[in-house]
Amino acid sequence: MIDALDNAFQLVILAICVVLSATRLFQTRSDEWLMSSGFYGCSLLALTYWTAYLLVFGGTPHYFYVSETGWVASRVFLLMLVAALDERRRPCAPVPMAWAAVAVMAPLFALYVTHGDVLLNVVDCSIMAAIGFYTVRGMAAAPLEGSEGDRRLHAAAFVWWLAQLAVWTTSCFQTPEAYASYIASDLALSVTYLLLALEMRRALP
Amino acid sequence: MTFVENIFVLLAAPLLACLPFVKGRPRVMATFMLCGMVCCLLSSYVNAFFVGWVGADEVSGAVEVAPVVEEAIKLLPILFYLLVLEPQVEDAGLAIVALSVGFATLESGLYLATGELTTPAMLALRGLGTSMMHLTSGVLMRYGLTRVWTRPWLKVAGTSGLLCLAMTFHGLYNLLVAAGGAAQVMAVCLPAMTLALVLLVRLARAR
Repeated sequence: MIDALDNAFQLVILAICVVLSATRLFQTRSDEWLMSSGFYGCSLLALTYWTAYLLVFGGTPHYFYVSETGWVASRVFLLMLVAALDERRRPCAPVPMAWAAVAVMAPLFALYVTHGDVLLNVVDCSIMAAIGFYTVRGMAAAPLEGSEGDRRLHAAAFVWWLAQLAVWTTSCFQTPEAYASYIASDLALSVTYLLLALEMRRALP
Repeated sequence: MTFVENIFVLLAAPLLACLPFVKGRPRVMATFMLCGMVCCLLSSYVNAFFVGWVGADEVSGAVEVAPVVEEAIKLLPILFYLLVLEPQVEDAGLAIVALSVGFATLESGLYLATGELTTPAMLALRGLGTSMMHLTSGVLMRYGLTRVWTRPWLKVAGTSGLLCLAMTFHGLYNLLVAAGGAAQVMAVCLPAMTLALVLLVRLARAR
């Protein structure tokens, strides 16, 4: 029941984000908004399939990767967006701290791979490491070379990144406390989706 | 030879025979309809392999395995066409839609041969539902791919995003069909409503 409510909440948030992004895409026709719409659209589709599967079969899909392709694609869109923003800011001063985000992914990958699929975790962790790298770099470099909106957008993307990792980490453990933490972090993830969409509307042209 | 191949030969032969006698866009259309039929045939083999490999039952196979396999296989000839032959945008769009039509045609032929389409409801499910679903995913791919392939750096993200769109759309459709009852009615309406929405957006943009 809590799972269904949590998914419904995230579905509503994602639908709002898709509308926010798509309206700006139709107004501006810019590539940044195309990637933002792709990010939210793919997440929404993947979660819709996941929720519909839960409702129809009373369990999660466990044979193949329909939802996972959606989530991977959405993260690729976000990666392209933060990489494009990074490209726009060049030449950028080196930010050694950004590599910390990549280093954090190593032990987490080891944890995830013991609880799940190797191929999917390699792809997911690589993309998340790259997103972490660009968001930390963006947060550090934006005050010097970008705008305040740019810095806030990267900060929102970083918070989303942390929430996503929290969801994955808590889902590895099967205790009641871990389940409560999983639900809490998934709700937090939903809020960060909206936060990121609002910061995108402020920062992106 | 099993009966899947028999139907493939019967449906594909006229298209193959017409190829030397047509040029330009009609040839692109006939070629990709043929490719769609080949993709459908290959999908049936690959689906069967993966269903056996993961140990899925018939419903899980249709809901989880088939959308991923079929949409991935449908994308391969299009990727080849875009990467190797670098066609004009209009030709690429036509190829994507023709491939979906070819795929849906052979799939419908296979269903017809099973003898299960005995009631109008079953015919509606196949004709308005599944065939339209393949066409809708083709139309969505057509608009998406012809846009993202004009931007070199967006090709990878855009193509994976569109593949996801096609897979989840297909998966949702199969899921609703598997659920039965009112969900099945929703499944039949979903592709037609999506196509109507695409047409409305096109009309609005044309104005």
